Amino acid sequence: MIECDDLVHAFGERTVLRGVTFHVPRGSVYGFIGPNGAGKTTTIRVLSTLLAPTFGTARLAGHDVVADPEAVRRVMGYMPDNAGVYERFTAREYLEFFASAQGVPSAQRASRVAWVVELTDLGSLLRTDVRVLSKGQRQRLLLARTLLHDPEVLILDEPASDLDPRARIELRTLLATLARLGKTVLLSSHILTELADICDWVGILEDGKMAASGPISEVQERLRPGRRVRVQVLERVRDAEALLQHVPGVVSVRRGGEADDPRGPGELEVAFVGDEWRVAEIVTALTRGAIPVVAVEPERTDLERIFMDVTSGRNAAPTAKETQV
Amino acid sequence: MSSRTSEGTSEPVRDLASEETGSHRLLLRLRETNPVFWKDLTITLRTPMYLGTVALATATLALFAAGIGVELFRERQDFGATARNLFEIVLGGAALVMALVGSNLSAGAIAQEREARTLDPLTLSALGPRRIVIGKFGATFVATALVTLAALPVLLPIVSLGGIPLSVLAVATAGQLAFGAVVVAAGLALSAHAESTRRISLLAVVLTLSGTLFTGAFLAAFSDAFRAGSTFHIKGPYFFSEAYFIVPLSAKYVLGLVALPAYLLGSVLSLCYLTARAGLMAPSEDRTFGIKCWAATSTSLGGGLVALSMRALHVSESDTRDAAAAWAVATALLALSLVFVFVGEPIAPSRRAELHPPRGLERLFQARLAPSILSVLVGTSVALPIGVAAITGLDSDFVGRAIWGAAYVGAIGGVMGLVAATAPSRPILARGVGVLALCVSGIGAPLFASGLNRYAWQPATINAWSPGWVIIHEHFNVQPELMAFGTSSLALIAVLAVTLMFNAASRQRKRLAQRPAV
Repeated sequence: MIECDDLVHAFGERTVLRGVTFHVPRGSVYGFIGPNGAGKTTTIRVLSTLLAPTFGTARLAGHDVVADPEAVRRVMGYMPDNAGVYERFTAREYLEFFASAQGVPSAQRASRVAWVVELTDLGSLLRTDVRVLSKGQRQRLLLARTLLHDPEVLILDEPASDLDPRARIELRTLLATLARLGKTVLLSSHILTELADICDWVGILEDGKMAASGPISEVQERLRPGRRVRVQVLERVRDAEALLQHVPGVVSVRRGGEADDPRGPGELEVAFVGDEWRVAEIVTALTRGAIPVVAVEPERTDLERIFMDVTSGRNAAPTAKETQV
Repeated sequence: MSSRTSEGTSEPVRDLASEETGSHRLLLRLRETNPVFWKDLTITLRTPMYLGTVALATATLALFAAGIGVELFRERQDFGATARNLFEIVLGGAALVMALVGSNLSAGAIAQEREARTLDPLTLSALGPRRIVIGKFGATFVATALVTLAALPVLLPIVSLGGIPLSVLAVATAGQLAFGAVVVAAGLALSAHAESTRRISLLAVVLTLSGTLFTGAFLAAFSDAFRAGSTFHIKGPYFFSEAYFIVPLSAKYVLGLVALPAYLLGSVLSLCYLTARAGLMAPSEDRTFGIKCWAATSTSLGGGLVALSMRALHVSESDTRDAAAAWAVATALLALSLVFVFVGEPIAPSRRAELHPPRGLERLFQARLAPSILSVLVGTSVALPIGVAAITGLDSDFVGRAIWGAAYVGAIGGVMGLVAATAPSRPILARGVGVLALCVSGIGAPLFASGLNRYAWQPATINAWSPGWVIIHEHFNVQPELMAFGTSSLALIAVLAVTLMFNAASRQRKRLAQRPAV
């Protein structure tokens, strides 16, 4: 549904995108993440036809952003970062204006506005002046505006920025609803924990290049192969480390933190290949060795972890083609 | 979110359509025609600053008129004379307020949306740049015109004092509205390319005020020409004391008084529209195509119209023929040189052109086969009729002049096209260099001819005149051999320039096809 191939963009002498390649399948929610200045907004503006790429191609629903920007605009709903609103309008006037601006036929306009109002729960705010809406309410209004022409693809640039926790939860719920409706959503955000709950695909941009792109689980598998558990023992952490290295399927054992006393308590990060039975074998081995186990916890494989791994340089950032899965 | 129950105050969302009242229905119809017009006008009319300015300006004008009116009547004891003076003062004051309000409103019309980050959703909507610009122009013009209309309650009592026909009021109001349209259009054109409202507002005000003075000067210049056959006159509403706007009843003055100003108004408005639209177009689109079309059309039409009106009006019998001919040919040549820019820029291909091949007129201009031949054909077919129309009483050397003109167009146009093809990313530079070349050669050609004349072996019968803008009021007698030498030199330059233009375009095409090193 969204295809970017070898996208290069330069502002004068400064090259911001250096060959960005990623594909987003129809109906998926794609989390587009990266540090500040990585080129996320530039990529999004190229996809939204607001910037022309210096090189490479980008297509939305089969339409090229350079050759056919009008067609791209028809199938796309774009919500810019920190977008403004017409403050002297009521919420209803705002939506009605954009419904007609988007060319929604007058016979369908009322029902279309009603649909987005219901979807974004703006019913109680229709008569309210836009200028008195809270940040969260404005974001809902902007999202409602984005949905008015029922686009196939939604591009949301930092939709959760500056929102309070309640508004974030509301937005997350709304995005989940949109995903259920079959919309293809590309959203950039810094709030990775929020993205992890709603995205099924992820793309990590660093310094104008895609460091990783694909389904979250596959990206994680590629960047950090194997599974991991954290094991906390009450004493003899050194013995536990030595013991676990002989358990079949265990790839590596690493002590977490500074354990001054090798006979004292500690935490171990155990990487292994296998399923839940392998975890049971690890616990059994420790128990047989008379090592008191306090906790066994699967390591979280969230976006934050992937992001940190990719952007911190702990994993050498592979090229886009290498990690495209 | 959608699953949450609406609170007690919530409005049943399905009732939106049923709530339409009469006024709401009218607004809906207006919005159907152009949503941006409705949106911008609604926002302006809800802005207290705008309403306050209009009310305050009208009240000030009324008080000022009352105060000055009493004083003037004491001096003159004549209602008619007092009314005429008051009329000029109030009209001028209203024009000043309108210029300030119009330039401020239009300067902010697009720049403010850019600053408030509301422009992107608007440009990405289905409206397109054309409807956005027209809607914004309409809304801002109506808001600006309201200032003039608000002055009518002050003007009507003055008119009722006598001495001013209602037709004068009508002409003056129409002039004010036309002036307002230009102010708004210029402000919008600036606004579409501006990042900051504050800076652009200042520029728009300065431009408007200087434009106001220029308009007055223009009217004054024409008033001198028309004064002889006057029946009555109106003092110019644009602060220029000598701007007498004479309305004679002779048909030939219609060209000067109606056609020429109408052409100028239309030309300025269309340029402003194209400039504003270019600022809102998608970056992958050719933003300059419309402006280039305007430049070629407007220049040739304008030059021809000026030449014809000069001949028709007999401004100065002795110089009419030469001046008209120079006007016509110079502007036609400028237009034709622009045709080369059309050719030079597109053949240095853009990425859009590669992916989205041009159609229709665009394709005609972007045809890669022999664009120079096309340009020369278009050039001669436009230039010659205009020249013929302007230069009545042709003599035998007309063909020689035509060949000279065609060679000149080829040389200058080829250079302009070459620059355009070499630096496609810097079109302003390309056009600047081209126009500079045209100016320099326009000045240089007669000087060259003059030099030849000074050292001519034998004076001949051919009169060499500048194909550029500069008219030297003397005839240069040049030998036919020298004329032929000059013409063939120019033709050689033309061929060389066009060839280099193609080579440059070819290099550009190869460069663009390669992936930039990153």
